[in-house]
Amino acid sequence: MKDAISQIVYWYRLYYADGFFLIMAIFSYLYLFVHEKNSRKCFLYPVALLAFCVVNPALYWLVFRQIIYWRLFWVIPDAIIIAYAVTKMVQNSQRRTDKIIVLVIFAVFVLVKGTNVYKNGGFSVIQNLEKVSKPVEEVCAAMLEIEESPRCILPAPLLSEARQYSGEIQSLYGRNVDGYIIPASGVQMEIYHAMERQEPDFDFILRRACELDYEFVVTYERNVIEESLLDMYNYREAGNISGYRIYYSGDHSI
Amino acid sequence: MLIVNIVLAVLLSWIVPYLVGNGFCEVLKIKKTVPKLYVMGLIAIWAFCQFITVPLVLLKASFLTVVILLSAWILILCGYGIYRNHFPSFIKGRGKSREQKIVVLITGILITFFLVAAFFGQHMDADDSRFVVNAVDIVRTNKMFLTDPNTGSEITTWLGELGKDVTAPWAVYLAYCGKVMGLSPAVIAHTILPAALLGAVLGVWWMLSEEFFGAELVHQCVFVDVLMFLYVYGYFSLYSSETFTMVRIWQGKAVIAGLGVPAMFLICIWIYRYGQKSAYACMLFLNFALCLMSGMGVIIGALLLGVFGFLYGIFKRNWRITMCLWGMVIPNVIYYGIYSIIKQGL
Repeated sequence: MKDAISQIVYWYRLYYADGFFLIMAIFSYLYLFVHEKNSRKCFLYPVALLAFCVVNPALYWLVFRQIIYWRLFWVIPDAIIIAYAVTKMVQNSQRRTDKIIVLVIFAVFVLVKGTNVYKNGGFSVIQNLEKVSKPVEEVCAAMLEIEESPRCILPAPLLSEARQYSGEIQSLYGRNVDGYIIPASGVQMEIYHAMERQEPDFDFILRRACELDYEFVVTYERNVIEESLLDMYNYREAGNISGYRIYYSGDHSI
Repeated sequence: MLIVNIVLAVLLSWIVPYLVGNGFCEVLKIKKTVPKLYVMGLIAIWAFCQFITVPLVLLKASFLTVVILLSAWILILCGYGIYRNHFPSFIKGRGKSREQKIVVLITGILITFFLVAAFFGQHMDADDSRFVVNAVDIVRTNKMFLTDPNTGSEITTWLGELGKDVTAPWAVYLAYCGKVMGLSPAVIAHTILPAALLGAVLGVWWMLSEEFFGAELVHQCVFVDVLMFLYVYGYFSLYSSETFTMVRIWQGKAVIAGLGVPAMFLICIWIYRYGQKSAYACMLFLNFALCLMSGMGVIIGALLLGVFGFLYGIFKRNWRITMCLWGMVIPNVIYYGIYSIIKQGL
């Protein structure tokens, strides 16, 4: 049971971070409980019981530890409770001035304690319709210009997005090298580690690429493959785009 | 041509669910409002998609089968609704006083900003290397979850995390949208759907405001405006429902967080306050829709139905309501069972 409680506390802290949102939700809930009897049975009591279930150590131990537990916090509608309470305060205020004061206090509190998702959430302006990063778009487009279904070995930053840009791209590995989706094979991990070393072993990489019939090898711009190796394995540089070098061994002219 | 496709896709992503919702509400004899039609239309599409896709995935049937059946469902509901020709008014009774007009205008501006930001903002998430790539491969190969999303190579069974997608095939819905709109599922997921799905989230918020504040337009608008404000400034952790809704709404699990859970609360309020059979039907469809979105939808749907059923049985002293709501969990149990079997078998 101690383990269960410590896990619940751990995930609660990760989920609610500094806790300002939860504090707002709790105060809002208490306000609604006192002032909104109509919504108690159909909304407030269910919220309370759900919260009880989610942070219940017994239920955690029996059921929830087998799933992605922190997602269960989604069943507690914090934002809706806060909005409901704030709007109710506005509604219950008699004078227009009081209504505006309620909204201003709320807005100031949120502006001071909150975090803007557009500024801090990793947003940028749209770069292409697929909304993949520009280097991915350009490298993939370059490969697709040469081959209809390019078989390629890619560096880590391109792995997550290359196949989103086009399903025709056949990569030797993807996010599985980070342990996601489908376990990576020994061969995939071996070549991935070779690619990501500070000084990649291109003799090994190109040899394996030939053996496995991957006609594209994409490297970081700083990693230049020696001409002798390129000649040995019949690769040539097909492009230097957005910080990446594309090497190609196929039959099509570049 | 691409611009034409984009414009068409934007229109279809809003108009089709609205028409489907009109037919759906007509069949169930539900009182219609504009947001209700849109949200119920999406739920009806998702529920049917879930209902047909899981058995077809298990049978390793072609994706084209899903396209045909889902299109037929959409066309039937659209056609029925158009035939009945009973649409709600967009503007009747809205914004009569000066105060109402100002508040409605402010809300309209905020909503426009909210939706336009979803179209023009770009946020990359590594989880799309499974969800979006699955959809891309489904369209490319005409097979469902039989392609390794890491490499693009064919596989004969559902390996690793793909087992979760068998019972929660949200990627099939993305693929369907891509197929019928003639665009890559990556474009659908990242560019077309975010605004449409956030529009549905706003629709649920509006319907909740109707339950909380009646027909008081000013307070309804304030409620929705406060929620938008909270969501924009609610990036307090990577895990919150606000964060998921704002940064990755195209992923099924984010739709659960932003739309599914609030919609569950909304329909439970309908069941408690009005007790109409149509509300129970909406709940059943919503539960199926939650199961489509993610494996967590199976769990969350069951949890919410379990709690609501228990409480309403106590409050209404009517255990038939409890049995009815708990009975809706049967699909969740089946889907969880199928997932467990697949997981054991891998």
